[in-house]
Amino acid sequence: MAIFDLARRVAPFLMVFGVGVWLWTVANDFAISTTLGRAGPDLWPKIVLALLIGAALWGLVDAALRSKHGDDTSILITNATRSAGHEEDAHADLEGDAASAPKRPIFAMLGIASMLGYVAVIPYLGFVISTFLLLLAIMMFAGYERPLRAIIIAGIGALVFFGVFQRLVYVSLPMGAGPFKEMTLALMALLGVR
Amino acid sequence: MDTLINLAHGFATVFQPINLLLLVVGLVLGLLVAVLPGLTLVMGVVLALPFTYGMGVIPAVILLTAMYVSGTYGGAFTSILFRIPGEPIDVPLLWDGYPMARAGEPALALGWTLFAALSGGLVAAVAMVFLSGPVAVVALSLSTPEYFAVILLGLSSVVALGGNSLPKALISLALGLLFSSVGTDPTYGELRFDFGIPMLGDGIEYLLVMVGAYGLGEVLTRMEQRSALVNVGSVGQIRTKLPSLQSLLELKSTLLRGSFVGFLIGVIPGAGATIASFVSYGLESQYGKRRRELGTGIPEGIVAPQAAATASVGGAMVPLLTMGIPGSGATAIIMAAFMLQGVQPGPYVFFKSGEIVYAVFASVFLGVIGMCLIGYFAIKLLVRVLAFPEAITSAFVVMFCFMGAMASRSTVGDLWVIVSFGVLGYLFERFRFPIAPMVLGAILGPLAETSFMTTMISFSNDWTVFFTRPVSGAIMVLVALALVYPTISDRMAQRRRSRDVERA
Repeated sequence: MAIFDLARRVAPFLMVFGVGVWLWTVANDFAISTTLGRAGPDLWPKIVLALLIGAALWGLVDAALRSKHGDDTSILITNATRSAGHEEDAHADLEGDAASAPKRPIFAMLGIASMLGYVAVIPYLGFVISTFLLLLAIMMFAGYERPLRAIIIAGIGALVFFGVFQRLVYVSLPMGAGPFKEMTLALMALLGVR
Repeated sequence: MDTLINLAHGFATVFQPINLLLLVVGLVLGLLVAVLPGLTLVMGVVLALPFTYGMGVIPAVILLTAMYVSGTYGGAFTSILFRIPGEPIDVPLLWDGYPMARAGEPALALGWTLFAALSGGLVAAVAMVFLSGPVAVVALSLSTPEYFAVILLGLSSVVALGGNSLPKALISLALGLLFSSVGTDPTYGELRFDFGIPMLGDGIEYLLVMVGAYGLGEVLTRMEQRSALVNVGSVGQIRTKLPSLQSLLELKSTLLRGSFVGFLIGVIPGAGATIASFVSYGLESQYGKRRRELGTGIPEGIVAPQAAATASVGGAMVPLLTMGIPGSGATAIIMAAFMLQGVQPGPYVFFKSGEIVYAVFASVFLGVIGMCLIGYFAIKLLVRVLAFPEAITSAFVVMFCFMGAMASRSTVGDLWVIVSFGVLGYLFERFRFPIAPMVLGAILGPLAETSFMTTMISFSNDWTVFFTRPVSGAIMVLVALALVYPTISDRMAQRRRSRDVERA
């Protein structure tokens, strides 16, 4: 259990360290890096990567030595609440209901899947249907418990966003393919958009 | 005198019908965002940014500034009435505002908040107007090594004050700087980190970093928690009762201290309204006349944090408008609005395009007054918003984020980028990495790189120039101090605590 906990603490820093080292090798391949004997296009990214790798190593050691996650509030807030005698309740109040609510990462995963799905299907289903499905999915996964009302809100929302894009922001939207394209064109005609 | 004349022109600009309308819209949106569950002030300002594409720079900045100003005030209502802080800024209000409301004086507690927000905001606005000119004069005299040092100071204070874990904040900053270096290098035109993908050759727009990390990341985090609906009950009795003139005068030292501290903290990059509010409450607990009664529901505990929170807005505008350095998430977005219109805030804009700068100044003054008027008359409506289902807000926030991404370059490719940053923002929240350093790194990265590379080329690769020139050397010392401050402060506090334990 302790090893699992340790792995969870150090994992983000290990990942950042790995990415940093890999990007360093990529930066080595930038053209005219050091051939002219002066600061090349790789210098700035390498300084930043050195900072990234150094910070990841520092974090790695820190996470391995500490037994639990430290408080992540700003030091100025910590000092102020300490002097006011509110150190304990400040932490709880800053966290709000997030501190007491059980975390269910599955819903965040479903949210990510919905967003990725939206981007994947929008060229085929077009803007209106994809947006309707996304709004509905996010509402349901975020805990909205009235499916019928959610469907109505998602439908109205998709049409309003379509109208705003077409009539106010003037952005060309994915129209979809096959019958979905026909539907989008019909909607555009309805809105008077050519 | 010139300053006052310019300010009068600024007021005239803001009073133009379209600008005035946007000011009011911004104030209402800022108040709503601060109250609505599932939305934060920075998120709200981010979501409004895409709507500014089609506007001129002045209306765009007026809208966002108004949201920023009123966002520091709206959350006070729910803190005092329901013990639900709309924003972290409002947490100190729970300790005296809520007890005062529980003691049967909710209207008076709201009155004290209004008075503090109004006075703190206006005091800071005056300081902002008169301090900006001299700061801009100094900024104008800086050459590239000094300018790079100033940017570094801004970034390092964001890192130092953003959270308690320096490695995490440094990683966040480094990632932001790296994202800004993707694409064509500004000095040599060399492609960097494009991995053969044409879209990356154009670089990663900071807008996508901001909207993805702040907007989608926050939605995903909230989905994981699935917050319950808030029952606000009957709002029929809710109203604001202004305190008497005599009691106002009794609190003048608290008010001045809070406003002054809030303004100063606002000027420091990385320390925005939340830190101002906490520090001001902490100072009141040490130096206030009634410090021993603090926490029992006294007005000092309301006035000190609220005055500081609103005053921090005026302070934060000073480095943004005079040096082009945003000190917080919200000012970073206001800076993005400037840049989207092709205007780079800084000393040149301050002196050459004064009409923009003074319109912003005037919008802070009018914003502070306007938000108090709206807060006074529309409090019942605003409080009702608290009962709005968070799930619906989340769904629409996601769509607003996508709308922002699509409106910028009209490509579906940008949607993949924004979702990636949304996932990154969620992972940051999950593993408690601060997001602000990454966003500021993405915005300030190109400026930092350009001034660094220009210095290196001008001074024949001599990097010691940053330390040997008097001004940049002095700023570099401040950078080092900013970075070691949290560690030293933490150690001292630990030592103090163990001493207390031994004594006990």
